[in-house]
Amino acid sequence: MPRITLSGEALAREAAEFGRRAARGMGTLRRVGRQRPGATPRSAVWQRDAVTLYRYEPAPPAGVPLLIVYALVNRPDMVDLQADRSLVRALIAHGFDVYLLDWGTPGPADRTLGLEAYVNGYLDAAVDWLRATLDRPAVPLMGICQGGTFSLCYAALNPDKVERLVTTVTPVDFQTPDDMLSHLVRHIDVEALVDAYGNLDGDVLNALFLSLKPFQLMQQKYLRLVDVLDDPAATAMFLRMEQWIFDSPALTAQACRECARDLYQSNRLARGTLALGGRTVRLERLTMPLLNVWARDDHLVPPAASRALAELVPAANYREHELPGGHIGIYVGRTEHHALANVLAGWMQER
Amino acid sequence: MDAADDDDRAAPWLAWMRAASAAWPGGGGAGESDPIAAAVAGFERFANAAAGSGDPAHALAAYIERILDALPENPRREWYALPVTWAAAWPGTEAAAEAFDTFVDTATRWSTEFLELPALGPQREWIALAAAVQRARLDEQRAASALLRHQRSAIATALRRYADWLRDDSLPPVASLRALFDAWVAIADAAHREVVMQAAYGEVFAAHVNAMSARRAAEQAFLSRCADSLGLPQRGAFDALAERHAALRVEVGELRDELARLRAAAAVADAAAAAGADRATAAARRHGVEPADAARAAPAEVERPKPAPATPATSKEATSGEATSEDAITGEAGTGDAAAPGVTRPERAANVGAAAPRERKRARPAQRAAAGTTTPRKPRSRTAGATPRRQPARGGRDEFDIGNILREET
Repeated sequence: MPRITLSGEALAREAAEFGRRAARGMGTLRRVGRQRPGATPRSAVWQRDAVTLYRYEPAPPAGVPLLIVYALVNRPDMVDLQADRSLVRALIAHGFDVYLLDWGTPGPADRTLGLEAYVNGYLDAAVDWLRATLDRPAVPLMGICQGGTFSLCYAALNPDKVERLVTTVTPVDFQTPDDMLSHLVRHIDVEALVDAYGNLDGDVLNALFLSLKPFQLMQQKYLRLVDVLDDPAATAMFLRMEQWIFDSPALTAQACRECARDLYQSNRLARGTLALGGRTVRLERLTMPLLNVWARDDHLVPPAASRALAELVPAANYREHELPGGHIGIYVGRTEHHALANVLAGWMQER
Repeated sequence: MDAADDDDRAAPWLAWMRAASAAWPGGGGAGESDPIAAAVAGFERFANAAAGSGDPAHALAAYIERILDALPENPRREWYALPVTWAAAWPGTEAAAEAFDTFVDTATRWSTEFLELPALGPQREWIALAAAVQRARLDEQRAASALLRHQRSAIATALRRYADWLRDDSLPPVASLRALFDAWVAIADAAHREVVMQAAYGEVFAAHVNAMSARRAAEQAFLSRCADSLGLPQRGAFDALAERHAALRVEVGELRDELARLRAAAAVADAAAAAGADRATAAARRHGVEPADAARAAPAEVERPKPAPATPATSKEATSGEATSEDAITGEAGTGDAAAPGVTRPERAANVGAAAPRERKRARPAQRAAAGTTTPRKPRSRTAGATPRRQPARGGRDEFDIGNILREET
């Protein structure tokens, strides 16, 4: 049997059908128009500089508060992409009173903001506000990706203020052998980079992320769009994701310097030598209940980079969970986001 | 908009398909009127022309290998390797491609030697800056070529594996163009990953990024000189302003915290006056202020806080995300320094909760860093009604101190 069983006529029909679908899809794209993520009502309850704390509504009566800390390199709207793919809604359904810390968009004047400012400054102030407002000595934190790293640092420095900690797709060991991003960043002259560029534009970061899977992310993804162009709802979701992916704030010069130099190049967090504000981040101080979740097919933060946490924190209160899916898929997948919420809710009820 | 309109929109695409199929190797001009038939005929002609056989898989594999054979090996010519490769496929262009190679070699050598010469004459500083830019650009070009060489090896590896995959008759048959494409993507990304994860690629990638940084720095130096000659502010001036802005933000943040503390203390005093010492103590503790502090910090002349709204003045967002309400929170989105006019009840609470006790503020220097800098706070005039003035800084970046600029303007 020949390797390609497709006849010339069938090939041509497939190509013609693709062409028809693409051409008709132009109409769908025009009708659907620009889409933005965000489905759940929320109120801005606290703000300092560009950083805003949101509370999602309706908050369940006597809900368990949960502060979500997102990464700097993308907008946090991904956790509430649309009604049927909203981690926030799933968490609210489980009885969580969900708060989200949005780092905002840094401007040129923010280029000196580094990890200390974000962790010991803004995050600490937001947590203090929550503690005062909710009249609780400590609040549960959930960190996502880089936000998970921030949460780890914060909880290690302020264990009395963090009731429970959830880290999701969070890099801890930044030098695992399968970490492409780490491999690319390892030899870069970071000082020269931030001196020349200042705040690192979101487009530069996106180009770096795309270069990790160039064929899938820059070719296949858009060809597959044609497959769903006759479905306005699917098209709208694609556009929401597209808007979210490329709506990336800049990374401040100082944060870029510290993330690249201290985390990726020196692996200070895993080695226990990372210091913020003159205090060393010691992960062994994470004695609060801690749940570490990673995505099995994560190409940005390999599972090994997250799993390394198990060796660095006290074992008594540490739990871990692997979810099928990719770095973003576990938050926006049709079933995956429910799975994540279920895992989280189950763990919260453990004790 | 209905399906008929969409079909109309599809018409140009189908017309393009007819034209493209006629233009394929062996197409021979006039295409069929039916686009499907045209595409079928075009594909068959292409397959026959590519391998002289009717087996599409082997024809495709043979075509891929021809592409691999055509990829040039000269590493210095990577940056224009692909255009030359495709151009060389046309009869009669080989000589032109070789001539172009010679020209590029000569021009590169000559320009490199020229850039090594010391600059002479009254414009020598300009010449040196321009030469530095050009050297940096050449360095970046060389770094890009080295990176391209690795990326090309990834493509070559991917193509070779794809050809092998096409020829592997033990695998399930492929029944669609989409399956062919998806297989290509999987193979190509895997090959790309293998190359990227090699130690050499990490070094070459970093060298390219470093060369880009150096080129940008050289361009900035040149443009800074241009700006200086035109009497325009340079990058250093903006950097100094940014730093000054960050320092001012620290001060405003501290003042805001102090104001919140005073307001809390005033509220405590009110409560004490209204309901007696017991209730005052409770109010003080609710605001994180010890009653003793509150009594000291609440003199009679302290401005009383305005009554808080009955419900938290939080701002709600449109759920679609079309409009955000961040501006409504402070009135100055992105800075937050001028929180007072639009301060909401939770914001006041935040300030109280975050920084009420002075001892705590001193114990957490990073709290100040959150406002943008860790620069030590400069002494501030305590004279009532006086605008804090600063001693003009001399030399360096401080001559662009915003205080100096404001003073000159006023």
